[in-house]
Amino acid sequence: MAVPDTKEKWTGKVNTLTLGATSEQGGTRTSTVTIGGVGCLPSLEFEGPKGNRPAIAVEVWDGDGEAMPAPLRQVYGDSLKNVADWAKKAVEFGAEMICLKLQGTHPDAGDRSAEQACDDVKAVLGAVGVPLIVWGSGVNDKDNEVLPRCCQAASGENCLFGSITEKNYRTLVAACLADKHKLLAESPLDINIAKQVNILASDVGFALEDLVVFPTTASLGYGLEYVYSIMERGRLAALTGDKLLQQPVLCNIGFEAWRAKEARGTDEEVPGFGPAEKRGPLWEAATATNLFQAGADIFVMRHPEAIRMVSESLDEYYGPKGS
Amino acid sequence: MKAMTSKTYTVLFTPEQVEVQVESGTTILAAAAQAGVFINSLCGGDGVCGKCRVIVRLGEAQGGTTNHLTRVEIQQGYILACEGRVMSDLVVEVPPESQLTSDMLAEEHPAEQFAETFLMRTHVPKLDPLVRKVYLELPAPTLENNLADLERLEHALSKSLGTQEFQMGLKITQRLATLLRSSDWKVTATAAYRGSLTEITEVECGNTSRCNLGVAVDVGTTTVMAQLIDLTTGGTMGIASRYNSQIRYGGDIIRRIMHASQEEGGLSTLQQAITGDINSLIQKLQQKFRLGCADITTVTAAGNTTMMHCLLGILPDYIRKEPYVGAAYCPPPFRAAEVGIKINARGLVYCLPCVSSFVGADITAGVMAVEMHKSDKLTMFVDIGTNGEIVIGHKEFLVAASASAGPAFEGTDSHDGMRASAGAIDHLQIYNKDRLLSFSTIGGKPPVGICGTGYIDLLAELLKNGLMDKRGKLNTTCGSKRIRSGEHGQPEYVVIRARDSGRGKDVVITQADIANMLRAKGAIYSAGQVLLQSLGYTFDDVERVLVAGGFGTSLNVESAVTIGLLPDLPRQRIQFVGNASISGAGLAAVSRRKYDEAREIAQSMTYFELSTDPTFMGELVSACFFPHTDIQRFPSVMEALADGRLSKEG
Repeated sequence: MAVPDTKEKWTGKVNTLTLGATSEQGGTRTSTVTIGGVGCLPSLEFEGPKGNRPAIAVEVWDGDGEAMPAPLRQVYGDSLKNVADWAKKAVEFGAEMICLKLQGTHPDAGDRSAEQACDDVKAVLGAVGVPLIVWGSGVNDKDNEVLPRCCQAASGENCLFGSITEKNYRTLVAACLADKHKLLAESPLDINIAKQVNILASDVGFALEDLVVFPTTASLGYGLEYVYSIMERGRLAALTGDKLLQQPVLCNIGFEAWRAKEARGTDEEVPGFGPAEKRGPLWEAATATNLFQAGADIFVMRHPEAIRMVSESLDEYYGPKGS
Repeated sequence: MKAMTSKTYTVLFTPEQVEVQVESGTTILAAAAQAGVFINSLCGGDGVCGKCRVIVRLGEAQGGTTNHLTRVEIQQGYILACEGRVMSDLVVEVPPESQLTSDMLAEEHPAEQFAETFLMRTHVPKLDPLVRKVYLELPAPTLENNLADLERLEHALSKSLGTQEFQMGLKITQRLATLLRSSDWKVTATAAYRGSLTEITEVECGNTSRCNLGVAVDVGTTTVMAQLIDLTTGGTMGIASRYNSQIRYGGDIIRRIMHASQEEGGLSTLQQAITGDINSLIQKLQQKFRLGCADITTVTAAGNTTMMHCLLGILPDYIRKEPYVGAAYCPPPFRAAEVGIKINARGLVYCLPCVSSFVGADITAGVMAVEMHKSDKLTMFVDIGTNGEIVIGHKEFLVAASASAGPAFEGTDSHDGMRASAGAIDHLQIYNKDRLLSFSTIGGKPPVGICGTGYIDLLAELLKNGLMDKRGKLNTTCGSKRIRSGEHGQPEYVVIRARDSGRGKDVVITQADIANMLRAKGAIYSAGQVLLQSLGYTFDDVERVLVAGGFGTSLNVESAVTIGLLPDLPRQRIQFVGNASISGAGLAAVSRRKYDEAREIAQSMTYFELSTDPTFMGELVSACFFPHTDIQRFPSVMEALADGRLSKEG
């Protein structure tokens, strides 16, 4: 008797999406990043195309880098004082993209103006050649004032702007449409709401293929199993043909991992977890590799050691970079 | 200085022109209650609902100027009655929006409103009322036929009714011998159904069998409705309705239960409020048809479990406490006089049976009225009331669930919402983007607010015209002049401008109203979805959807599907059946079999607890979107919305 073929036959796959634009494409980037295209669950590539290698973006802030945990301050040093230096350092550490977080525009955390934010965007674009993610402060009114200006400032660069939510999307969608950027659609770890945000953006004319989903996540030890199961549900829906969930997924790894006391605490604060310089990067890398298993396509990271470890595991699955 | 405590003041309420003396410091709401003047209060005086708005025309009141009122309104003298205290003689005007419009359209346009209520009564049952009057000409006793008077009566009655076992009160038994002889053995016996027993409740001289009336009552949390029925023909004579006066003790069931259990005398206050309402409705119908109360022998009542408890003066407290058990679901008939309902002194109140603490007699009555329990077709019965209940089944099974939808479609929680009474916008359409809005109101009166069916149309129209997105957010950037920033900076859509309204104020739907209704419609749809799923069905298997409720006089099914309240099925499968609860109560009054059927339905219906179903929360979030997150479930809506977008662009 023949062994029955138990392979899944998926009918859908994740959209392929390119970020950044070189001079031929109307931008000034020296490299672009293409993600998505996966048509199977991780490690089950006999069931479908395994798609593009996920990209590692590194976080850069427009404000006070001093708030970074000590192990990160150590490795970044003085570069934290200036967005351009910080971005260069990040590329040195292996960043394929820069994720510029405009948290300094938050009314309670500096309240930087739209002009200042535009300057920061231009400074990063000038300092590095990798594609850019630009992320607002999350305060709706302020984002609606700042981000459209930044969209204009980065016009032609094919950046990823974030984030739109179910409650606030019209302004940023319009701006990204006008300046031809991609959009990050945020939802509170809920595939229904993820879908709803995508529908809302699509209703006002934004192509579903130009969206990246940001599901908000957690780090190791803080509910990662739940995150995993929700992301997996979303991915299964994509593979079974739900066009409203076929967007690549971005995970905010560094932010989540370095919130954990196990990652950021001093050796005295978290005894028994090993030395701080190893603990933090390991926490970040473990979070990232887990969420890779759940289907993440962009990792926003911080520590060079974590970046190195994650790149290595990606090499194992996809082969060495560039190959 | 005079002692403040003993000082009393006179408060005059307009437009009723009722005066009351109260102590200084009494709240205006309390003064109004003392004066018998009704002021809307959903929160029962907690100062949170902002509905009890009154205008102080003369005198001084302290407090009550809260953020529920705009600055302009405060300058005009508006205060909240529950917070404003009497500090001098006062003249207080109760504005139309805070008044109890005591008579709904019901009385003025019975034909229009209730045509659909009885839509489902196509099979008129065999006339066999719960309480019958039988005219008997008894053979006079002789030496040969020497049966005793009672047995003689029972024997004759048994022949006429076909029942064997009788019971009779002592008082009538004592009078019987004299009465039979003085009436020359020609009497009318009133026989009341008590299952296998028949109670002879009255024996009268001569033939009075032509005068036998019943009243069917729907005891709603918000509205009480009474229907007068001629039990000798089975025909409906008239209908009257009014608001449930218990509203002043809270708008929802939980507040009522808390009032009954925690306030001193709370239960009897609630019982008196509801029996008072029923009595006033009966009185109104009596006056209209020039009847004496002795002619009314039967009251049948249906309502949710808590309302049935309150009607009978039974403490409903255990309904809301784990394990959520009511005191009585299938109570026997009681003397109306004992309950406090003024009909024939020996008349009976028959309560239709409840299923569980959250599926009440209104549902069993409705299911019985629409004959779901006899149908071959898989039917979904949706009752949209102060809560939403769903029953799925056919003649083989019935499963019910309660969707905690809240009273959004009853209009009580919304800025300009109102019950389906005169002046309520019940249907509307928006044309030409936003330039033209046409509407109809109940009774053709100038619009004062919006009732449930009006809201359903409004939401569908806002969605179709791109004035609101699928998440229910008003589109503030579309250039519509009707969308503006309202209270607390929240967007609102102006449906009717003050100059066209019946109350001199804009009629609006606010962002918060929409959010409320989105949740309510989501709860109802997802309850149906999860219930079907748990039974191994999908909406496509449903052959009939029957929508019941008193939230309007007719429902635009297309609108209800557009917003995703009802599933996207072929429209001929969906039917609005109006107030099915009162239909069921009416049927029970004229047919013992129907009354028994209701009890069988209650016994056979299974209650499904949604909140413990693991898929319910996901389904609920998914349904809280217009029409639904899985838009593929609404193909016709998807098409219509796409067409709309094309035509707008073109």
